[in-house]
Amino acid sequence: MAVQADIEHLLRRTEFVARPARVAALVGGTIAAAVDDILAVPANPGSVTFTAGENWERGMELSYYWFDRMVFDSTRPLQEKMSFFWHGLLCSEFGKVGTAELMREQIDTFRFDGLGNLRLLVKKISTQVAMLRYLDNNQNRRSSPNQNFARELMELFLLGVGNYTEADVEAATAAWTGHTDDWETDAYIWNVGWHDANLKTLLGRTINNGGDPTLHGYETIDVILGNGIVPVDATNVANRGRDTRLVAAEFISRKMWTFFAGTSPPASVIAAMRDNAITNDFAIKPWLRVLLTSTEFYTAEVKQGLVRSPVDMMVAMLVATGLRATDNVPIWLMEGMGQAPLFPPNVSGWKHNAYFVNASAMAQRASCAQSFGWRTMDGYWDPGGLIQLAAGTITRNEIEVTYRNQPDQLVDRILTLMQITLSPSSREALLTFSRNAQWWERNQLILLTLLAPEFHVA
Amino acid sequence: MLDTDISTRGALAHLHIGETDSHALDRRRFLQLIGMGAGAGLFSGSSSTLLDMLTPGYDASAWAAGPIGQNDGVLLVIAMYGGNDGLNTVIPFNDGNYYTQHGGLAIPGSQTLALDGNVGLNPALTEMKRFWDIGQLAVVQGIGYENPDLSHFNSMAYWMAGRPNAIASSGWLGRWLDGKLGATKDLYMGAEVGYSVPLHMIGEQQRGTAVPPGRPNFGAGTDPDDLRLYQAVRSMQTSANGPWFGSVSQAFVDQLDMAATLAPVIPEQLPDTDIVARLEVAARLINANLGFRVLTAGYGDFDTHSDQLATHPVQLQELNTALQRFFELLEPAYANRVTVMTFSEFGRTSWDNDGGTDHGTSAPHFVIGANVKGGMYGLQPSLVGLDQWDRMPYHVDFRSYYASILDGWMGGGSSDVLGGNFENLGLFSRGPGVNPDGSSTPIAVTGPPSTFVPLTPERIADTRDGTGGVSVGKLAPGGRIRVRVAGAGGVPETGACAVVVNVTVVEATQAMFATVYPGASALPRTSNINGGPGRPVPNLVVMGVGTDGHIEVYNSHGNSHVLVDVFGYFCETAGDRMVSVTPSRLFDTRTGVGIRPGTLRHLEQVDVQVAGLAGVPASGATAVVMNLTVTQPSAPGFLRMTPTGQTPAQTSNVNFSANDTVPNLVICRLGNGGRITLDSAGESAHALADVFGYFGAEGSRLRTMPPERVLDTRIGLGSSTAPIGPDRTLTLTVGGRARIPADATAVVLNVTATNVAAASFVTVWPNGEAAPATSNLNLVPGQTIANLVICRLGAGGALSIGNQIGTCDVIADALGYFVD
Repeated sequence: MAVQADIEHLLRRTEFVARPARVAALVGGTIAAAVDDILAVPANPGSVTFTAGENWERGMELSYYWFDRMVFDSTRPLQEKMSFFWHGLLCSEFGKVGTAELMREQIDTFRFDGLGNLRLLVKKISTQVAMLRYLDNNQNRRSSPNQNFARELMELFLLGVGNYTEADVEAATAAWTGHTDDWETDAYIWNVGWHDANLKTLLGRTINNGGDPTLHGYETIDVILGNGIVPVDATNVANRGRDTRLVAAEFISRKMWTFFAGTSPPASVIAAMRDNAITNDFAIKPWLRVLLTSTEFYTAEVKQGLVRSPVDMMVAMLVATGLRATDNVPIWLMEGMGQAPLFPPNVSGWKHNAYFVNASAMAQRASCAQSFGWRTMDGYWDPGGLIQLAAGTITRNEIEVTYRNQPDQLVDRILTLMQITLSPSSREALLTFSRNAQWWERNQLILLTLLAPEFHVA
Repeated sequence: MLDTDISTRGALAHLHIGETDSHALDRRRFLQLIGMGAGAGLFSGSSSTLLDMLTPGYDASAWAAGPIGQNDGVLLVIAMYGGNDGLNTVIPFNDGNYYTQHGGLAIPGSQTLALDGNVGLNPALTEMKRFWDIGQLAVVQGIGYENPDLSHFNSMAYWMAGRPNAIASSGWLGRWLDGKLGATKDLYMGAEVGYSVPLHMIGEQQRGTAVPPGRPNFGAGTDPDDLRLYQAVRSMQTSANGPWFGSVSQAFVDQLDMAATLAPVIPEQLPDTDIVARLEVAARLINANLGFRVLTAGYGDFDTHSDQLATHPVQLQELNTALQRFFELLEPAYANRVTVMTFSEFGRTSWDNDGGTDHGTSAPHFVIGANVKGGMYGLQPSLVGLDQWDRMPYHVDFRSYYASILDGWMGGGSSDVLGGNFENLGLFSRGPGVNPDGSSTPIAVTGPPSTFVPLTPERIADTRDGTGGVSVGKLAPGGRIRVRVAGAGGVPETGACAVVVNVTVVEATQAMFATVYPGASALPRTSNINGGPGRPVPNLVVMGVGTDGHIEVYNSHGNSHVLVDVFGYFCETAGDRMVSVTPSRLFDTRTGVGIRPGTLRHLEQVDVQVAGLAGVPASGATAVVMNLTVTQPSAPGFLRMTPTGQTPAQTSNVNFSANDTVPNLVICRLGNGGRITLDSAGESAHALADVFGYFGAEGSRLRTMPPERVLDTRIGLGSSTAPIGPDRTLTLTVGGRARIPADATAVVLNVTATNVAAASFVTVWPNGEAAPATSNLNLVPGQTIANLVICRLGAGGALSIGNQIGTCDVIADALGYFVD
């Protein structure tokens, strides 16, 4: 039977927050059983229905829908968490893509297929208009090649820099010519006149060798995740001559480890994950299972090793206050925190940990916490004086009368209602505040709880 | 909590980067960071950089907010988002191709602001033209790069990264910060005035701070309940629960510190136009001398595919207004330390597309500053033979543009920052801080805590007779006199930090103001005396003594004589401290309170008891701070205060004409029996006085500061843009603002009233207390009048300022403050 602290850690990393009901459901079994339960995501996680006419508002609708899935509406929030992992790795940005519907298509692919098969996932997103536009593959013509997508496919998406040569970039670029879009209708267009169908060599394998030219691009993915070989003149000396599928499996394994664990990836886990990926031909669920069931994932270093990203933090605040995304998600503060959904800063996505920890970013987190604090107080001045939090309500009368002379009990009541356990030092700070504050200031305990450091580590 | 008083000598000594290394970047650090070659600079492929992001590296002890060094350059970078049409910004008005290709968008040469025989500026850019005319505008033409990318996204990334055609993971200014700071933490070296940090301010290791164009919120409050809340956040700081817990909690503390530091610098009211507001904030950040070396701000949209005739002039007009605002606010001490540069992701097509232009390539950009070598650089790209979709060639690689700034102004290191050697265009005539004669303008500092030594009043300068060695004759418009105070009138030769002088403007030929400021420092944008034809106008001044032992007096308009009387000085040793009291009336000849009733007669001496009255203790007080007002005189004259028992000197405190009501602040030593003797030249004047403080063994010490405007209701500085009047009492927060720390007990302000609607009086008192029955300024419609105020700070470090009848605008210049 698993230790409760391990279950809570597992849930925080996979489902954003260790919801008490989920802890109770999983704590009776083993870690492996808990991981299987967490991985048992629904086949159809649904899709946003746009109601706004304006494109940017639709983008907000998509974001709010996604947040609500992460917070309340999914029985297995790992599905949404994993889709955000892919959003940060195989990324596109709303501003350049231009149309909310195209972002929805890509994000939904991550949501529906994010725990399926990597090979299929990458193929699917590579010819969606969002990606064609974001990495300029829609302007990739035989007469004027654009290498942007072909390069990033290897450099940032699947292999890592140094594991291919410029000749490979040129070959892959040729294979990807011909896919474009209609700027007016957002429709995908195959333009055979743009396609460079000449025979090419990619990572030691022949591609563009006849057949359906619309599939030539996909061949590059099959080579990278198949029988490609890291060229002998690649700059990454250690990988020269290795199968690219091994390099890719390790590359993605490290990305997963960083995303879920936060620490420097242990070689043993990466090797085990790689082998699993190869064995199952890049099936994602068993691959991630290796990570989540590894003993290394439960060390103290890993448990203390990750800062909540702004999205994770937003989800945790929504959970603790019981608010829905449409009630209060100040998305406009998120860019300043370092992470706004649909707006990765560049094609390499988001960094982690220290990237989000600085005074300017914290000013935005503080503003966000304030807005949650105020939103929970919406009914405070009404006759009922109600504050709604995750686990129930507290009234103004209770705060101002019942607990008037019980400042410590008020702190614990609010923590219980927000389903938060604070470290002794943070709880002590709240107790001191509660004792010293005027009774009418004590509703600020909700804000202070949202500013507690434990709220901002994962 | 960060000491907001960052300009102390101690801080300077401690934080100043020595001249020998302030210009040098740490080359070894660069090799570690970026010298590994990877021209593309890919963090995601580079495990070492990624690991940096995974490892808590937060050094809580090492962050610094320090003033800039004497010869440090400051750079303001303005991004013009969307791709600015260079051809309509710097117009080649002799090129027929321009008129052919730009079609209906082309601007006739006669409308341009001609720079030479070939090019002229867009008519909106009058501020640029002003700088051109004084030789301080460099126009760099034809900036671009090889294989130009026509995507906003890509091209802006290349420009910001400082690396064309490569994936951007860090920016050129961020890498400059890397080189300056290494692993040191400093929130106040680089900032984007905006809501998030753009790529060019993100280094491999360091990143600039985001300073939104608005007052900080969380952390900026000063009420007790705010402070309790912040204290709770601070006390959650611990590293006991793992490294990231420590980093996160420390970052929240940093956030509180930063908000408290920036809140006093950023006014509540900012201009409506976004870029104007951002540049105002930039100027104020520089003036506060928190250590900022690089500031960036951006605006748009310059992406003028259509309707360009309507939109592009507006964008340039906004730039022009923003630059005007910036240079208007920038303190003179920083004028030759600041350079402004512009950039955009690309220019636009030379052919118009029937109303607009499309994404282009090369374009001109501007470099502005006192030490910029004005002129044309680069080359206007030829338009010969360009077809509709052809793009202009480029002549200056944007990295050469950057290298010229880095090497010419920011201390070098361009090859490290840019990953190669690029030509320095030689855009600067001199280095930062250096004047044309080779001297350096000093950066003013706050004086040390000092105590008061009262003197028997004595005239130490008089332009009418040359007293004090000043030239005989009126000051000309813009003229100044240097008054030696060290060694004069009882002030010691060395050790005086500040002097208390009454400065009187006599026989002014037109409405004018005089500004008093420490010697050997830049003329501040403040004023002390508002004079004009008619009676002499005096005002008390408490002013830091310059490093040269002088104070200076500047005459704004017309010609006028200036007299200076000294009443005491402040020094670090052996003087008295001030206790500021709630203002209350000491005497009033109209009522007989504290004095015998009835007007003062010509040459009559009347003793006034001070010790034991109006908050002044019966014993132990050595001098008093009071506002002396003359009212209802029947003839012109002046009033004089002398310590009882001393022989009156040739000085004066209040000058008046018949029927005037005129106040002036007086700091006067107490004479025999704790009394002061009042005498008058001129018949039948009533006199009254309100006490604001006294000096003795206990109390606060004065710290003078470079004169700084903290309130101007005409422009919304320190308040909303509205006069004060019968229905509006203004609360002016000064504690915790600018150079004045939150724990200041009292402040020395020169308060000026203008745009006076009705005869009335202005009262200044500590915030949170009942309005006293006292007055500081007596208002006459049509007159601008100033008076010094030394007032205790009330709740929240604030003062209340009220006006009884009608309305008036109020301006306040801080000259110093008192601390315990």
